[in-house]
Formats: sequence, structure tokens, C-alpha cells
Amino acid sequence: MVKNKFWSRILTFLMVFGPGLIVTQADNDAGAVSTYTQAGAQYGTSLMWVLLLLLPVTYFCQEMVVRLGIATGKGHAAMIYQRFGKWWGAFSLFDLQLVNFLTIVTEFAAISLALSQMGINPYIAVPTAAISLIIVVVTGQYLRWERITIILCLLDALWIALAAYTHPSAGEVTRNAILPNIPKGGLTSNLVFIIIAMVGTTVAPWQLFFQQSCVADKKLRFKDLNYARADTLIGAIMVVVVAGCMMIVGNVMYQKNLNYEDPAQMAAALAPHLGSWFKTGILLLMCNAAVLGTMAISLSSAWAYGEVKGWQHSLRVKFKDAPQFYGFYIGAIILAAAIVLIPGAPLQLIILSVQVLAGLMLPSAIIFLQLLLNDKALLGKEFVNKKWNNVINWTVIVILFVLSLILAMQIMLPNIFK
Amino acid sequence: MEENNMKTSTIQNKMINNIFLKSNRNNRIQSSYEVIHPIFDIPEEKVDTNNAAPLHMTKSVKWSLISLRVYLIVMLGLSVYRSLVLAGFIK
Repeated sequence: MVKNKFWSRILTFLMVFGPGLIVTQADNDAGAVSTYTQAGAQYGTSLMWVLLLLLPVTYFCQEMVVRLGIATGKGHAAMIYQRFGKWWGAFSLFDLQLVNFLTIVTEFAAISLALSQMGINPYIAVPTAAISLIIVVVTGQYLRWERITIILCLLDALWIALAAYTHPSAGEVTRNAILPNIPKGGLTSNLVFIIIAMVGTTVAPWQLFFQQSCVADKKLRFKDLNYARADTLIGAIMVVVVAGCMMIVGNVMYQKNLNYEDPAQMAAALAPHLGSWFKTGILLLMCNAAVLGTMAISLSSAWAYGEVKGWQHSLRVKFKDAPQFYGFYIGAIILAAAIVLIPGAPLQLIILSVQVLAGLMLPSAIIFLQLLLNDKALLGKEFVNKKWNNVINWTVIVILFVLSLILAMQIMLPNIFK
Repeated sequence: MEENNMKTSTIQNKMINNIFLKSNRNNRIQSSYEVIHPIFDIPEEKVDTNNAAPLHMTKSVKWSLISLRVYLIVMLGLSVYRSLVLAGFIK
């Protein structure tokens, strides 16, 4: 009970707050750290404008799943099965599980890489991370899981401090963020690959599945819709700001003409210039990003599979009441961690391939979302997309398809760009 | 007479006081807000997804979905091919 309407709103917002921030910050996972720092290391801050364009794309896509989740109280996978039939349901689920699992492998590879740079044996670091991830989730306490995850999300803001310490040119960053431009060297194969990877990592299909399931699991009510929208908007702004900061950190490599291999190597290369604490900061934030990514992506897989199979699938219930749901989550974590401990995996290639694969699959995921949000028989007039929603969404879909087609041309005709 | 007037006035005052107190109490009730966490709130009735009419699909939507299916299968194959080339399995 509170006496003031203002405080009741604040309190309700704080109670609703979570899924939007978690999904967007988990999106800045190890793959994102790699993609954005690589973009910075190779092109400086020239590609900052791509991030600014991705802000509304992220928000509008996620806002739709919030609406769908609140209206139906069900997850995304279940809705695709129900409304589009078994073929599309199975395809979406297979696609989600494949990309998700490969992504989880890359997250553990990043944990291994980062902690190896800090002198910690991967055979200790990876199993420890896996066990911690299992303990946080398998407690049967939604709120405990959410609070721990929000703290991890807020730690991501430390990227802002790292970026500020590199003293970037504010004018140049602002100009590159506002004015779209092609970096020196023109439209090369590598540039197209990086741009598609950036799109693929900022708006990934698992995010749609995760947030809808999370909203349904948290039992958000119709009256919570605007608070959930605010949560998503805050998350979308934060994800873009943090991604920009990663690019600014990578920009130091570009300015000093240093060779970029991966974020861990970048941290080591920057240590002589910016101090050993800077290196440790990058490595720890890389671990944090990987842990957040692993948790959210594994959960989106387990929620989706549980919804389709009709298992009990909630973080609100104990392990004994949802053994298959938790078992699926634990299985994915253990298998991915085990694969990483097999020596010789080409990390950077896997990371970029996963981002590209996700980028390719995203247009179809958004088309389903768009069709579901125009399904008046299901949602009624209140929750379906407004006309302006549809204009924005179809524009986004067309852009994503164009990027996807460019990638296809690049694969079929490797010399199409210099 | 005077005594009667005093009694009437006291009763009137009491009534006014009661009304004032009651309205004050009501205001207090209106100005206090109950905030319940969604997890602990009474579950609300959601859209009935099981009994909703089938998704209305125009011919163009149907054909678009078929094209999308073909496109995705081709793109998936191409991505795998690209990955194998980059990994050095295919020259």
C-alpha cells in the first residue's frame, strides 16, 4: 500500500521492470563484444550510425512480443505452432535450437578465452561458470533469478567507463552516429559481413522467444503493458549505448594500427597503452557478457521446447515440478561447456557464423511476429498492430531481407564486392 | 427552548463532524494505492488462443510463406557452405 499515485506507479514499474532490460543486455553477449570491438578495430567509429538505426528496430520488435506475451500469456514458440501449423512450428523451433546451441558454445569459448588471458585454467573456468549458471536458474525462484540477472545487466554499464577512459573524439562519434557513411576502402566483402553481423547480433531471433516467454512466466497483466514498454525502451537504449562503447574501445586498436584477432587478444594488446586494469576490465566484462548471454539463450531454448512439448516450463516452480524444463536447460549448458573444452575450436569463425546465421533467420522470425500481431481473430482490435506499426515493421523486414540477400550474393559471388 | 436549540445544534454538529470524518476516511481510502507484484496477483483471463478462429491467410500470404520456406532452406545451405569454406574444409 502506498499513499501517493506517483509512488504507486514507480513501484509498479519496478515490479514489472526486468524482462526488457535482461533480453536487451543479454543481447550484448560475447559474440556482440567480438563483433562491435572488431567493427571498431577495423573501421573506427565509422559504423556508429548502424547502431543508431538498430535502436528503433530493437525496440519495435521487442515491443511486439511484449504485447503478444501479455495478451496471450503464452510463449512465442507455442503461438507459432498454434497459428501456423506443425511445419513452421518445427522449423522455427529447430532453427532456434540450432542457432541458440551454437551461440552457447561461443559464449563458453569466450569465457574460456577471457579467463585464460587472466591466467585461469579453462578446465577450471568453464565448469565453474557452467555450475554457477545452473545454480542461479535451478532454484525455483523467479524473483531471485531476475534480481541476480538485473545486477549482471547493470554491470554492463561499466563499458561506458572504459570507453570514456579512451578519450574518444565526441564530435567524430556524434557525426558518425548521425550521418550514415561508408568507411575508407569502400564497400568491401568484409564490411558487408560486419554490418550483417552487427544487425544479426543486435536483433536476434532468440530475443523474441525469450522476452515473450519471460513476460508470460512473470504473469504480466494487461495494466502492465506501458510499464513493460518502458522497460523495453530503457533496455534498447542501454544496449545501443553499451554497443557503441564497445566500438569506441575497439577504435583504440584502429587508431594505434594494432592487429585485431579477438576481444581477449585486443585486451592484451591495449594493456601497454591503457594499463593492466583496462585489460582486466575488458576481460571481466567479456565474461559477464558471455554469462548473461548463456543464461538468457539457454532459457529461451528451454522455454520454447517446454511450451511446444507441453512440459511444465516456469522459473516459478521447483526442479522436482519441472524436471524436463530444467533438465533441458542443464543439458544445453553442460554439452556446450564440454564442446568448448575440446581443443582447437576456431572461435572467431564460429562467432561470426552464428551472427550471420541469426541475421539470415531474423527476417522470417519477424514476419511471423508481424503476422501474429495482425491476427485479429487471435488478439482482437485492442492488441493488434496499428497502421504505423505495420509501416515501420514492413520497412524493417524489407531492410533485413535486402541485407540477407546481399549476404547470399556475397556467398555465391565472392568477388562481387572488392 | 434554549436547551432544545442547544441539543439540536449539538446533534447537527455531530452529524457534520461524522460526514466530514467519513469523507476524510473515503479520501484516505481513495488516496492509498495497492501495489501487487504480477507474480503474486490473481491470474487474469487472457486471450483464448485455443478457441480462436483460424488465421486468415490470403493467397499472397500463402505464396509468400512458401517462398520464404524455399529461401530459408537455400540460405541455410549457403551459410553452412560459407562456414565450411572459411574453416578450410572446402577449397
